Amino acid sequence: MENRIAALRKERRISQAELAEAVAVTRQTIISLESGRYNASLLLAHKIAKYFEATIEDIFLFEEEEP
Amino acid sequence: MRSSIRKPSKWMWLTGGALVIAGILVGLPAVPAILRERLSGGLFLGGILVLVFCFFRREQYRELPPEEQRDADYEAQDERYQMIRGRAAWYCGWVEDVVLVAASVLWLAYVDPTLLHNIPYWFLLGRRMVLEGIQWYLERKY
Repeated sequence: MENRIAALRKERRISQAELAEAVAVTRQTIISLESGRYNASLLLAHKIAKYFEATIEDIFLFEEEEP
Repeated sequence: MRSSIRKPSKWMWLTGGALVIAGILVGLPAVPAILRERLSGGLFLGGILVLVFCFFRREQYRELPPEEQRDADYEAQDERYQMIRGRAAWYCGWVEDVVLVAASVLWLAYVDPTLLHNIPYWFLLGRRMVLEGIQWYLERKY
């Protein structure tokens, strides 16, 4: 699943450490999320969306599975 | 952050202290000689080892830059870390199963051909039952 975390973070000049602290995870988790190696839980996705004052769908780009 | 250096918990310090105290208490003359001889030294030394480990871990933690200290503090509650620990435990359990199956086959071949005395087999079976029990409990809970 792709996401816009890195783009939003750069846009608002927030460091990975700052975001990590705000959503109570490690920097490594933010790095893994940004690189797409790890998918956030619903709770973490909600925290990130709230931090950026956006919706989950604005940040996390869900890929529809083909039937 | 690769292998994190977490500050030892109060629980770790208490465990070390409790082992040292237990070692001293078990060494008292009022305790039966067999327990005194077999347990006292081991408990005391074990406690000292835990305390020494805690001390060195705390010193290593203090030397970390603030960002890494923060990461280490958050690690226990970090969902990615928990996922990794869960997967590591699952793979570890899989390796244990393979080792136990191999050990029980070797036991049958070289130690005792009856299944009744096959220690690795019973250990494997017991371990499996504990796993199923915990899974049953967790499925009820969630």
